[in-house]
Amino acid sequence: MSRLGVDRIIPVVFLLFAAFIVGFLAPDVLASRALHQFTASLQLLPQRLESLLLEGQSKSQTEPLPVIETYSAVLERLKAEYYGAEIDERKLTYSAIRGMLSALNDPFTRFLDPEEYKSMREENEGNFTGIGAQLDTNKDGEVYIKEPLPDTPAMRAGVKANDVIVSVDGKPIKGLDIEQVVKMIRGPAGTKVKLGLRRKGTPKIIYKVITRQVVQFRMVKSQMLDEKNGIGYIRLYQFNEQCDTQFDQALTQLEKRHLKGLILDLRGNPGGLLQAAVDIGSRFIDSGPVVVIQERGGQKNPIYVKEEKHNHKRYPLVVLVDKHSASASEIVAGAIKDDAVGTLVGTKTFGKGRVQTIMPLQDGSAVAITTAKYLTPSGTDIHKKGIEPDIKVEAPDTFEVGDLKTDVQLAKALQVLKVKMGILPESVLEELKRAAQAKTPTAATAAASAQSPR
Amino acid sequence: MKNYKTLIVILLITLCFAAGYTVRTNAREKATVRRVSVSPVRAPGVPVATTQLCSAGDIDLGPLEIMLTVLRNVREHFVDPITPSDEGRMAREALRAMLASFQDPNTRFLDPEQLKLVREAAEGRFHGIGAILGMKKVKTGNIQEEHLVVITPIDSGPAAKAGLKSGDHIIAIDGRDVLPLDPFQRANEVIKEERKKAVDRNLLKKHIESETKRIEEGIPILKAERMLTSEDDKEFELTVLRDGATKPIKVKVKTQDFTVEPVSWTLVNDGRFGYIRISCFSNSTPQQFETAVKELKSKEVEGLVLDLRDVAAGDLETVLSVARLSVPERVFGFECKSRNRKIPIRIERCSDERVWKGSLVVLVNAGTARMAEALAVALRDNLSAKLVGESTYGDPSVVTLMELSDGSGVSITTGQMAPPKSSDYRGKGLAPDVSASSSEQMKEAIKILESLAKRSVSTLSRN
Repeated sequence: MSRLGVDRIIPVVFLLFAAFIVGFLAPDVLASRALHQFTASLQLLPQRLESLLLEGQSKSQTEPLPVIETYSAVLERLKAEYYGAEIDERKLTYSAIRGMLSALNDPFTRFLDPEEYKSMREENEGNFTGIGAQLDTNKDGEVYIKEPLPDTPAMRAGVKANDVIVSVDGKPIKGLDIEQVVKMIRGPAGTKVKLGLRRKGTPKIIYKVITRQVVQFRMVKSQMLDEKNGIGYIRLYQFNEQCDTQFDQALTQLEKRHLKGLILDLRGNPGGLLQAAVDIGSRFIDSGPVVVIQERGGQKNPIYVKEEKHNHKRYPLVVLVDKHSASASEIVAGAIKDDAVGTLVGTKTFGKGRVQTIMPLQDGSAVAITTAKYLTPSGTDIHKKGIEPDIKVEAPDTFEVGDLKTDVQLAKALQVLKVKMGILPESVLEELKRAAQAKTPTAATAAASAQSPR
Repeated sequence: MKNYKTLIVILLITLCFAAGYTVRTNAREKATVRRVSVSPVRAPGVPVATTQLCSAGDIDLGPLEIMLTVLRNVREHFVDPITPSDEGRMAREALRAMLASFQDPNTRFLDPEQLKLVREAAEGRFHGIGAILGMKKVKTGNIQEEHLVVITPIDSGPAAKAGLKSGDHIIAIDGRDVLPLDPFQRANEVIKEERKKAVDRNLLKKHIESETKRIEEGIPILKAERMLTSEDDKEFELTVLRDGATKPIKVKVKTQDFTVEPVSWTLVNDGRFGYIRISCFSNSTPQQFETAVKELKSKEVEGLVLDLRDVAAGDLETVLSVARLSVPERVFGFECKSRNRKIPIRIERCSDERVWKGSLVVLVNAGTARMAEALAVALRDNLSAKLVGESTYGDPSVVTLMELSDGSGVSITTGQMAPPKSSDYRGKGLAPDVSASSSEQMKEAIKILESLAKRSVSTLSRN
């Protein structure tokens, strides 16, 4: 046995190893028909041996599933084997994307299919193509014109409020949903639509041919609440690209009527664009940040007041908020509260302190991803907490926004503003605060309002 | 000596070659099956489509590309960094949502615990209230809701003891409503209806508030199913709707882990006939069934009652092994598959002395479901065995399980069984040859066997 030296063992071991490798490659040789396939498998040899070794080590723990690979494997399987209705790959994948995003436990990170994305863009741009009339359903289930908006094709064509729509482009619309009717009326700018209308007092159906146009949403509603004391009221419905311009115009209008104090109504305002919030906020804040954006990774980027928005005088300010005031509304309300430039009246706000970025996708759909947090100027994260008003006033079960008789919150806001302007004594304020504390919060809130905060 | 050494070296070289070959082929198999492996629970005779993993280059563009873009954006931009376990959850939720959109009760994602239940059922082990539960679509007006139904209470389980019956709809658990997959349908319908009628805002608001409360407090159907089949010790009060009962019934059930004896048998009618009860189709059912048949044959019984009432769990393979002992080498049925394929499923041959050759009556009821139904109809079509009892459940789906690498799974409807001769019974169930209420079923079965026995005696005497 002593003759079995190293010089003999080495070739033997080498031979054995070569045999192993040849065996290892054999399946590839058998499977491949062409030479290049074989050379490819030769090149892959080191990786394959390595992965073999690695696998032995990490076998114990179950790996999390790889998203795309797993999904496509199951999808392929379904396409080949599913027994039942035809598979709509696009629809399935949209559901899968929604499911995938739901795992992040963030309701604001969400998928928008092409249709949803389109209507969102329209809302943000603040305009859409149509005829410019608000529709509603009456108690008989008929779709009627609630209000033709000023300076729109509908108004110019002579469509009147309470006209009942009976046909669109000659097609009767009986039994259709309001959404379906709206879809039929909308279309590209420049095209025409023919409406058949039934008007009270007119026996025949009236036909109007209307040319569709780009119509702007009215984002701002303003009025003089108290002409004598110069108290103005501005309601902001949403934060889009138009709202700052419209706000500026509204304020100018009110100033012409000797504005001395202002009520800003952010109730039911679900938010909108961050930029619009900074613009509106800048109108009330003197200096410093309107909002602080905390990026992924924790870096804080304050967004400072835009000086060019200081084109109006400053007035005593009361801001109305409720639990539907969200996102951009909370940026504005939070900045006003932190800088003590106004008094918040109403109920606690929604509590959404996350900024989404909308990323358009190849097929017309889009994904909204929460990319940053925002903090109020003083550094508070209001997410899931909301902003407490300075003076708490619950809303009654039913009321009409802007109507001083039924809108209790507005009436109280008016009192607060009067105190601030020195028209009413300070004691009124104390009384209001006491009343708010005494009242146990009633849960009666408008659940019917289906606005989804953005 | 030298030759001897060379021989050893050559032997070693061959061994090494073989080792290399096996390692490589094993590794190859793992590479394709590691992440998505096809579970053994499937029909024999059907080629297994191995699912190749896609590398990024192979991925079919289109919708999948959109999903990939979304995933990349989330990875790069989401406010909190995404961890591998987040991605694992995302993969699961993507599958869950995608499969739910099929609205097919048999096509769904299974969490690891649920997959475990399926596996254990194949071994005759059950948990929770001890019932095979299912979803049934129920249409009322414009609303189509999924109800949680008891397909089958399992023999000796808590549900059976508490008196739950197959076909019972479980509408609430501990007073909390069981919600359908889309719980908002009703609320939307109410809003729609109210809009058409007089708009009484207060009434509408009240409706919506009560509906919101119901949804907030309710239990989603899939969660309810999990609750009732989980391994924890609990007691539930179920509110149950039953056919024929005017009011919902309240039933208290305690959960329990238990094992079912899959087959039991006895002699009936003074030993003239045999009775075999199959409680579930588990892995040991065919073997136990064979023993039962052997015992009964040695006792020279004249006829056999096969009790398939309240049997739901089981896979095709097991059922085929049982069928083999009474109708070998016949067509069990046809499996209709995607792309209009129709594949006959043949029953294997079996040596004569093991096969039951006498007359046969099969007891069925509304709890006779899935593979048990397929067996019942195969016995009827091949052997003219009479079915006695009630209409069966009516689900001929063939379901395939995919096991994923993280222990979860996917179940997919991959086919539908069509009986050899009888017509399709999907949704309707198999109609029995002789209908009988549960208390009369055994009596009817004996009556049939007696008349069959008489006939064979008379044919004998005539000869």
